Amino acid sequence: MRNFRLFIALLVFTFRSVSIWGQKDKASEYNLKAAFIYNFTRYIEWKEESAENEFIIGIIGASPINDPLGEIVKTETVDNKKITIKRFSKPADISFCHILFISQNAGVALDDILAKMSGKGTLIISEQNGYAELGTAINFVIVNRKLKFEANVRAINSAGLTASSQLLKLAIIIK
Amino acid sequence: MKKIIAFAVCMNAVSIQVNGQKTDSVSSLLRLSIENLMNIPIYSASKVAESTFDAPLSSSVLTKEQIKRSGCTSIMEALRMVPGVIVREQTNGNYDIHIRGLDNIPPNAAFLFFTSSTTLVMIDNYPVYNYLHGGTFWETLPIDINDVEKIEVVRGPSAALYGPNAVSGVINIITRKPLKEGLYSVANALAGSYHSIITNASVGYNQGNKFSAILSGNLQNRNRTQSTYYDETTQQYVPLDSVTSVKRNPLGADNINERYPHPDLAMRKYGVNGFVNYNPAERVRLSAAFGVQHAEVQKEFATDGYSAYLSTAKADTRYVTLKGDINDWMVQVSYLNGTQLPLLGLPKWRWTYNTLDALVEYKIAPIKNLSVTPGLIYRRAIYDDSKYVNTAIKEGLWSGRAESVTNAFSLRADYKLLNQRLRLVGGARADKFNYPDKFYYSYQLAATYKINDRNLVRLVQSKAYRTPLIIDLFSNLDITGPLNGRTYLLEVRGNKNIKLLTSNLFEAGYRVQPADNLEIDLELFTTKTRNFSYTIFESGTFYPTGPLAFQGLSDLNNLTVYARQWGSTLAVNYIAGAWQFKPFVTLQKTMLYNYSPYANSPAAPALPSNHNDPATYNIYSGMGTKMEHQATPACYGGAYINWKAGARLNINLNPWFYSAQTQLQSSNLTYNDGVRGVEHIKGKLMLNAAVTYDITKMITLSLSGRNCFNNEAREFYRGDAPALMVFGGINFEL
Repeated sequence: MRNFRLFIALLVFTFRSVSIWGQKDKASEYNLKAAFIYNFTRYIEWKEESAENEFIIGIIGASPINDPLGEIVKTETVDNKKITIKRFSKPADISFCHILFISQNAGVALDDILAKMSGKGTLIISEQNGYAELGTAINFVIVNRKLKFEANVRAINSAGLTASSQLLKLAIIIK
Repeated sequence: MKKIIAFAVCMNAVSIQVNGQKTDSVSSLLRLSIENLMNIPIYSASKVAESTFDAPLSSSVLTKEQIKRSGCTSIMEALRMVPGVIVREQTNGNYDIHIRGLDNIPPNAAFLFFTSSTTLVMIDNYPVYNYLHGGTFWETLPIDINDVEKIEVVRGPSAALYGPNAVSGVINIITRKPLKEGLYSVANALAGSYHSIITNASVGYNQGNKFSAILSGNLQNRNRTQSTYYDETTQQYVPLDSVTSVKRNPLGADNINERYPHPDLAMRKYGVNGFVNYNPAERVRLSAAFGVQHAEVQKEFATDGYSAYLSTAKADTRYVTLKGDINDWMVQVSYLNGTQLPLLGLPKWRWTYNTLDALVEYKIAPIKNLSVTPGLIYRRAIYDDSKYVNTAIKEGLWSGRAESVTNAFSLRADYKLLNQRLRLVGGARADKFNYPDKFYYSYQLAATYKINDRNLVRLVQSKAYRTPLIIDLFSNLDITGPLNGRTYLLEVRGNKNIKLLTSNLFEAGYRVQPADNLEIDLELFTTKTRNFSYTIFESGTFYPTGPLAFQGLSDLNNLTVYARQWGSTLAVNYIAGAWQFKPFVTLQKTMLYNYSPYANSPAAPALPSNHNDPATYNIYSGMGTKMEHQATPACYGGAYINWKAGARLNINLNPWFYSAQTQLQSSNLTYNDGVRGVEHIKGKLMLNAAVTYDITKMITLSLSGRNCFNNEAREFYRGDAPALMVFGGINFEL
């Protein structure tokens, strides 16, 4: 009996030691980015856009974020508004959106996008080093394999948006 | 005791709970706060690593960044950084490349049968295969490192997924596309030891991610690391005009010069390629690639009575390939034609050839977790020497137009079950060749089971064929010459009923990611390969009188020998701060069964090569025997060690090694003195190192040493001694 118990204990312990490698939480990069973007909507205040009865997320350039954002759209809303995703391939095509995500594959001059979206009330989110300094509101960066974000407060404000202090506390502030 | 059990149960509960927490689904992530999200490590920053981890087959990916950082000067050399690949240098820039061996089988064969004939090489899924005798004329690759996005290598028979010829594996070179809108440009210039100059450049344009085009060119010159050639008689490396076989060439100096126009040259080649992509709609992608290539190399290929072991090979080829992904359809058509002179100066080694490949696949809409893709394939290879030889007297190797055609049907299926943890991937393919006139079936079954996100086990069972070879099917050559004042005639004939080389594999693999920065990939494999073919001396008669002294018949036929391999490859990827370590090693053993060294039938005439007793010493006399095959190293591997020493500075070491091998050529049977026909390849460690410095975001300078210890041990039968090579270079990338 004693041996049997010991056997069970060892078995259980062995199982534990195998599964220890699987235990750390982790996520794929774009699932995380999509979750961040959805979370941002809780901390950003948009100007009243009475004409819009949906919440629009634009994506410029091909991006793996398409799929996870598509998942979110199915189940979630922002301020009880349905979320719609619009995809653009060049700055001239961009129509109004609450959030514009610039894919790192977009291959479009950032200046063109910023000029087009200036003062339109769009939260511009990018994922390339140095883009927040260049004028995007939020820029994703990967630090030690974890996803962080830079916030350019001036860019957020000049777009006519308000970011909560809670959000800015978590951000890497770019001045 | 109770405490132990309680502790264990508690730990078990923890692990069950943790495993049940499926953090990677988007919906579960939405429940977390930004603060929590910020603490979740990203599973894999690169899509490549992710797909490699989940890949059902034994596979490795080499990226353009690795090639750039490592200082590799060619696509062939870069394959030394891939686990399970054996890369032996013959002369500067020319290599014999094998996946997991199967080299030099049968042993004691003519030189032509030495080089790899079981690996399928593709560019963007389009085969660049040599149907003549299998394998790849690497110098005829039209592209160079500036065109490479990544190189995918699959180890093991994979004909069901990639087509016949993928007997020991597949090397698929994926070309670059301009990802960013606007102008695209890449250029490399490298200059190094032995007049090695490697330049290549591409310019392109991406218009709104809908249309992109690249024009690319490459040019390489490499001289040999020595100027001497091996002389069988004196068993030394001597100047060309002192090589006994070369000296006795009855056609004299003119033919010697024709055969060896540039004795110091190892490689001179250039290529021009165009790549066009057009995406008119979301699910419509059209692409075209075309190019031309010219190469002259001195490498080891085949010998005749008047050549040294090195010979000059020339080739000019042109290709065009069109591909369309239209909704769920995929259509690919490729056409290649060229002129080949693999033994320059020998008229019968000259021909034109063209290959046409067409493939249609349809991806049936997935039903739950099952996706099925049927495909139809047509492939035709035509080799024609009639322009260059007198076909009436069967002067050429096949003296006419040789046409090998395949019609094939393939089916791929991918099925995920048990909450997507278990994945079954299956491929089956039926090939109907014109010769041999029957159906051949190949298959591949792979199962992967994800114990959790960090542990994956997999099993593979597969069977693959090699395409019927032109020399096996169509050889049609009459060899005549003087014999004691009269003449002899030896007829060499192909065999349209030859059995195709076949390999079966069973493989088990385990991949684990014990930490975010550590990945370990272990594979265990065993293969059985049979139906090797060779030129068999079938019969012959000596005539006492008349002009003809002897008439004999040789044909291409199967051998009784079969090979079994047992092996294991371990590859590790470890990242620590600015360091990356990617060591890999393969241990393997190859046994040959039923091997007979006698390439004659029992009905052949009595000759010294069969101890004047063909009834006893013939192709069947190896039945029941087994021997260890020594031409594949028992241990080989290398490492990619990279240190990002600063924002601009990168230092890379890529050592490479193998254990000793012995290659046996047919002279070993003739002389049996342990010297002639025998090459003892010493175990070898060579170190390559490269330093790169980014002057600006666009311009990188590089300094690299290949074979830094100047280890001159030969890597291939009677090849050139490799030497330390130093390269300086500049890379431009827009």
